[in-house]
Amino acid sequence: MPPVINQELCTGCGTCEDSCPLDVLYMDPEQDKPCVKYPEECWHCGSCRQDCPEGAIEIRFPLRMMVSAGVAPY
Amino acid sequence: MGWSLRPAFGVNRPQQTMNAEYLETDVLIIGGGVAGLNAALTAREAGREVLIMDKAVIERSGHAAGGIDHFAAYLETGAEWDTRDAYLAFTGRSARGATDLSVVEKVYCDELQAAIQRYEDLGCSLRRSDGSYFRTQSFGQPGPWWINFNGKRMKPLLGRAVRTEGCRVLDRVSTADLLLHDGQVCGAAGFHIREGTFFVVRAKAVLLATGGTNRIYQNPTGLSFNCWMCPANTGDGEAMAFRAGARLANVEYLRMTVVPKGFSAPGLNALVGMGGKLINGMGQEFMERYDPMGIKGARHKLAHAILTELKAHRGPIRVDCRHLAPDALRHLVTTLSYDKDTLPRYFQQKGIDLSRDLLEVATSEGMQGGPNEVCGSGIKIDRDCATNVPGLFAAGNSADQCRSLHMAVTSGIHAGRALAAYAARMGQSVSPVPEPQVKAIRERVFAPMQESRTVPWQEFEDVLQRALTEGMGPARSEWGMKNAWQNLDLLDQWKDQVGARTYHDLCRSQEVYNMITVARCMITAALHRKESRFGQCHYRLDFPETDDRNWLGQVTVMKDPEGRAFPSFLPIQYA
Repeated sequence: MPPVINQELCTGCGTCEDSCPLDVLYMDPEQDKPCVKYPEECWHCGSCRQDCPEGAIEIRFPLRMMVSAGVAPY
Repeated sequence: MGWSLRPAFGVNRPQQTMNAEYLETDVLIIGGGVAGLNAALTAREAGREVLIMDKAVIERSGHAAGGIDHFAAYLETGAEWDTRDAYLAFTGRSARGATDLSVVEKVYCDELQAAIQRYEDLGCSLRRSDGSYFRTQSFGQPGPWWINFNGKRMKPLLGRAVRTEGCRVLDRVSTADLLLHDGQVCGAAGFHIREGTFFVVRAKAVLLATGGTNRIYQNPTGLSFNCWMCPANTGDGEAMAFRAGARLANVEYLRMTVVPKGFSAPGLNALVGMGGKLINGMGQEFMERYDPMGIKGARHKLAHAILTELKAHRGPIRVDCRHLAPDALRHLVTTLSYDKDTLPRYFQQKGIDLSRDLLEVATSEGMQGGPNEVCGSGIKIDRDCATNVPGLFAAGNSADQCRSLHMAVTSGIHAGRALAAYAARMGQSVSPVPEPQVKAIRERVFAPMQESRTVPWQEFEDVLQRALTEGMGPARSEWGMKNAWQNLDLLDQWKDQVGARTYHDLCRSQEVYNMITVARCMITAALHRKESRFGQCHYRLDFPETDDRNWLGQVTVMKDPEGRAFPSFLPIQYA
């Protein structure tokens, strides 16, 4: 589930934590690295991806978004 | 679904006996999105003290957090469609019965030049590098009013400007409720969504700029946060205004759009504005059967046409862009990325190349929203962005007359002026803190942290979405809506069981409470309006015709002395 943080590129600066409008990303105090704490609340807005100074964040879309199958309940 | 009330890693059970912090300001702004921050800048320029509360960090919060690509404006270039009169005529025609042009003139037309100047001042120009505007046409508008621009850095620039100008910001503070003294709004209380600190802010004037109401209808993918507009916008402002005695309007309308199937991303405007074609499973262009304007017609007509084609098993519906010139296609893909940063990556990961492939689209989830791009829904405002409750103002998508980026900016600026003037009139008189109210709000807000409460907010939200989708969808009837109401009554019995183990989840719990309040107001208004209007926005099977003789105007909703929603009808005159 999105976003995916490349731990080798990530310097643990914490920018992404402040960028997320949905409070999905938290700095893990033990690892000093960000962690995707609430993946199902991601809006896929790309704010974290845009703001990461190291280009360490990519978005991986959930399967239900990748395979456009299903009937809308409307 | 894996809902659980276990705390996530590294989080100990938080203390509920946090101290409260008391703050004071001239102007309090609730919601630091585009409307709120523009209001903040204008009120600050007028010399007032400004404090902003937002659930997130204002550099990336609200609907435009990750970027936005279009701003509607008439530019008086000499063309007959490019004038103030043409804009008002279109608004009066396309939002007839929901728009009040005397308000639109003040909150949009009179502030349009200031809004365009604000973009220049911010360093986020609406112009291209050669100084010209790139303009496109869609949604039934008479000319290319949409200015395409790169708004990916707009929110960070606005956030920085607000801090530089000396506005105080409470990031990650969710507002719980407004404070009232002698019938006048005198501040608000809220809590930090990570630390739980309780804040009490006294203010001379308060602005609600909290956006629209999302996550109240089922998402076709089953992923609630995969929504078109910002999933943090959950009707908090509307619900707070309602509890404070303010009037809501246009809340009966269901808004739906057309999105890439699987990803509820904006982009329809760009796709149709640049000349994409909509075709059904049989390879036919079908829009002309529904609307003489075809694909350039109103959004609700596009949504209605697609719903009908799909119901008749003529899907899948696809957008064809293969005929576009390479330059146009490049502009399209770039613009799509300004509106939704991750959309090009989504296409890439799915292997979709618009120059080669058709893009499957479908109708989005429903949301509570205004009937079109030039008219909103929510808290009823007058020409000064004021509500019927003294001291309380609204702007942007949470105000009944405002919709889209252009009106978020202009109404924000307009509200900023009104807030500054109101606070100045209040002089030194600051209302005392209504301590009994503060205590009641605090108890209510933190109640879900009790260990005995074990229903996750996700479960509550899921049932709310099912009830509304079933009874309040794009086709409505009295019996269906009453059934939805009864289901909400049943759901309400579980309200006191919703529990949270982190302050983050406490924030989400508060959101679902506000969502059910908006849902009640929505059903109340929709039951009252015994006609159909704006296609699938309010289509009643039992009253399928538009009835201008009896229903040309707004249904408004207020609370009665028992706190229940009651409707009334307010006629509007049009030339």
